Amino acid sequence: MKQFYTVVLDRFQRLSGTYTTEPYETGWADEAIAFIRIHELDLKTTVEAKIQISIDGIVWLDEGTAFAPITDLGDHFVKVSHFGGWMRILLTIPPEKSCKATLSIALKG
Amino acid sequence: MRELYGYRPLKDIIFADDFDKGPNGWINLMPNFRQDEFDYYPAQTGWTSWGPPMLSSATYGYAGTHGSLHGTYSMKLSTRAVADPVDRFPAPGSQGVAIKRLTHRDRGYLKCEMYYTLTAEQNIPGVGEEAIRSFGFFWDSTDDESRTFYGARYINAADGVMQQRWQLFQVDPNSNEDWGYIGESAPGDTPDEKVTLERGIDTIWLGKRYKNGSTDGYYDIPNSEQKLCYNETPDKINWHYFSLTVDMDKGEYVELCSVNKRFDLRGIKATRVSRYPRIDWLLNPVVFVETDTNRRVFLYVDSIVNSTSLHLDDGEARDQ
Repeated sequence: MKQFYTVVLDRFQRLSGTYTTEPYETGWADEAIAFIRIHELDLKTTVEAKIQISIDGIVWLDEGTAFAPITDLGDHFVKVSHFGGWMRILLTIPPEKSCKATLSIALKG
Repeated sequence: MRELYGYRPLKDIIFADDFDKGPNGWINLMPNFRQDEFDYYPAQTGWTSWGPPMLSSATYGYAGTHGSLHGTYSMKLSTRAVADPVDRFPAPGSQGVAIKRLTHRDRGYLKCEMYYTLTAEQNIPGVGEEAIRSFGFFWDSTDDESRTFYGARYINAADGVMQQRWQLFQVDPNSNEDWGYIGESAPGDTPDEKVTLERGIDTIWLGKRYKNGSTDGYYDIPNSEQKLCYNETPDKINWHYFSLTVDMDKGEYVELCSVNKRFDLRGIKATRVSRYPRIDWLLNPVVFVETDTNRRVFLYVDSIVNSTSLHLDDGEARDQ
């Protein structure tokens, strides 16, 4: 059977500015879905988010996958494949704005 | 880990986890939810960001993939790049903690063995050994009358000063300092029952802490100084053997083995507290690592074996 592991990287976390999840090793997995659960969001706020990959967990590059602009509470996701050994989510919240979010990656392979 | 070579388990193996076969039920240690809403008890809100475990290939930017002792993958614990001074409670995120949850089958002896290695993140030059504050293993163990934390911790560095000695989970009976927990910690057996963390529970982040890395929750094993093999650069990792044996009937420690050293611990009691609601006969092994500075540090566990027996000599290949 395949392996499956969902890691919750941040939970009920108040976020502002640019925020990245902690480096997470994904080399064993073939596919991933990154989830952002928005619990609270300031009025008229759009959260941008994208996937980044890395060779060493230290230097990060855009993988090319981005979330559609997030303007609502609830769950949002992107599917990712061919991500190599490391993955993280980078979120950008507009200046003076914040959100409260839970960030997860579901891995399978 | 095709067989248990390299291990000396007691007669009955409870689990033998090789992380080439997957996560084996290890998960990050989380605080309890309150019963009235999806939120945490106020005293535990900083406890949500301990680094989660991950299946690691031990890959470095200039060395490539190190792999594990028995294959490609180990279970890696990572801290965040954050630390508070050693005489304060651990900063949220300054530890990586992984737990597995099961229940006892019997009393008698309990033994944990693992092959592990540790290193600092290679984000700045230098070996980085001084960035690692501590690592260790413990059991949260209960029956229907009591709760005991049995465990061992290697205090490596305290505010940048190398310590390199072993400690056991045991509350200092001579200290009058607060344990450091305020308020409720878990649901009781009934809605009216209030539960809190007593002295000896959750030692990895409670108990008065001191500048030399000692705390009110750890007993410094006499003459336990030991230099571990950090190698000469953080992308060269060497696997270490660890074992801890305890006597659950006596509530005391038996033996700690680390690389070439053996420490006879018989007669040293673990701290036993009264029963906690809802967790009778719980047996939770836990592995943890802690950073000493604002730099991530990693503990890799290649494999870990827990075994038990009513007697010490009926299955273990002991020299004594």
